[in-house]
Amino acid sequence: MEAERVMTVKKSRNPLLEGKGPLYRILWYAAPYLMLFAFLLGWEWVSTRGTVVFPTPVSTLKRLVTVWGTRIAKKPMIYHVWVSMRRVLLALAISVLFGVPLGVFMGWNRTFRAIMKPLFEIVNPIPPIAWVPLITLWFGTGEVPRLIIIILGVFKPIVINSYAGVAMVEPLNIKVGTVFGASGRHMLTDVVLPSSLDAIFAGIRNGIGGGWMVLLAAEMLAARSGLGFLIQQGSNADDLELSLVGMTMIALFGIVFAYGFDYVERWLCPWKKK
Amino acid sequence: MDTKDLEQIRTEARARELKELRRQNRKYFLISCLSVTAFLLLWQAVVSFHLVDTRFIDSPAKVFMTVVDKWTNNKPEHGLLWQHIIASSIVVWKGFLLGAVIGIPLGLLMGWNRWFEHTVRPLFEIIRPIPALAWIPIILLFFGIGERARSIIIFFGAFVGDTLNSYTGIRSTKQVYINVAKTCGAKDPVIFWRVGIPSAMPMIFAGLEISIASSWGTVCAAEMLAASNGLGYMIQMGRMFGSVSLIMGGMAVIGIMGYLSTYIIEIVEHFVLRWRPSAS
Repeated sequence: MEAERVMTVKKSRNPLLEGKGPLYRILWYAAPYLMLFAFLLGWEWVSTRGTVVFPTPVSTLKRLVTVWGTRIAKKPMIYHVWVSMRRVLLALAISVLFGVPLGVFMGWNRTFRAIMKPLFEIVNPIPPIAWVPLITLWFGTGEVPRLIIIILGVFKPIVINSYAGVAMVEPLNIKVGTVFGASGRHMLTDVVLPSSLDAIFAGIRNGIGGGWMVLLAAEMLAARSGLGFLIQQGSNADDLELSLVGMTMIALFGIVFAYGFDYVERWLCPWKKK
Repeated sequence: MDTKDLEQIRTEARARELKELRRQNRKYFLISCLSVTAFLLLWQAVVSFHLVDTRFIDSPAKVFMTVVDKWTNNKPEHGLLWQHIIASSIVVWKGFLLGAVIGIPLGLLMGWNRWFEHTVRPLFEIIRPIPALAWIPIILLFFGIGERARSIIIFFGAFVGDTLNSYTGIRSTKQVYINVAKTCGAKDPVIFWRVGIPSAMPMIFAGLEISIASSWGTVCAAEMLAASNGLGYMIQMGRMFGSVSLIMGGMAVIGIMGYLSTYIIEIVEHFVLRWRPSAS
């Protein structure tokens, strides 16, 4: 009897809703939707009552659906989306391939760090976007220079975070490794790298975020395809709906990338508790 | 006695260690200086020996001279260096401060109050992945291409980062501190003000440093796209008139401005957080 009573205690999933009436609960679940609705209303008001012509939420949604059949700059919508994604993924792959080892080595070897760090610190404050005119001067306006610019944006956080991850490994872990007889290469692969994976992944996540920004800038400034180009084209052609559609697509992709990456990280680092 | 000798041995060993450490630090510092010098010499050599077409590169000396010259020379785009610097700086700081003033309280409230977070979060998560530059067409429509428009673009970039960092910062407040405040009889707003916010300060300032760096990048892009003054515009003009040294000089100046801005934030941080035993 006693045991049964204990076992049937209901565990409330939300401590804030504990012991509150139904009206309170309804308000709680509805609140975010009400907020979004208020935002949409505000948008609608701006586009119908405002002083400039601005697409309504409904027309943007309609365009979001119809745009998939249309062609912009002679290419179908799906091509633009694909091109943007390809650029980011490629830049990410190259940056991770070269950036992580570079950062790790910088953190591991003091001489290498002494050589590379000052050069890095000089290039660091220059925003990747500031490189655009120089890169377009050197390489023209093809796909390769765009890729280089995006890589510049993704590379920096990856290297910095990988370096920080290795340089700030818990000294205790290193001592334990020494006690167990690890040295040199073994220390690196078995002690330092796993504990710095956390920072490396944070760096890659920052790299993705930064890369998105630079991708947008590169596409707005020097491209005739891609989501950034769509946004710019919408602005140039007074077709703001296109810009909004582009923004929505970018937002969607940002979310997809973030979640996808969280998944990858959890797969590679199962010991990490969120 | 034995213990006295032990003390002596210990202090001597410590002194030796320190000397060795200092010697090592000096050695690495020297390597760093050599590395930078070697890079500059290589750069100069590439130009002097015509290894690369001079259309594409200019010697470090020439770049430096161009920057110095630009202070008084208003060719080719009718602007002086300090005018560009001031124009860009105003835009950056205005947008950055607006982003901080709105983003930090928003993030703090979101992190502290579950109701607030629950309500505002979905809207924020929709706005969040949109990069600042993507707002340009909308802002262009409503605000034209003036200085104010650019500040608002910067605002969008800075605001998201500041909110996230404030949120994370206040969420990492140690429960122990909150419990102590409650034991002392403090009500929730007081705990928020006296415990939560100071706890979040290091994270907030870290976010501010990142924010100002990305603000400089955004202003650069915004000026290249739609402006008639500012450092980004100056670089773009350098490209248009084929002056590589102007491009490189502009890039260097932006880098310096970014570095100075971060330094300013660090100074403010040390001042605000001077009560912390371990300065972050």
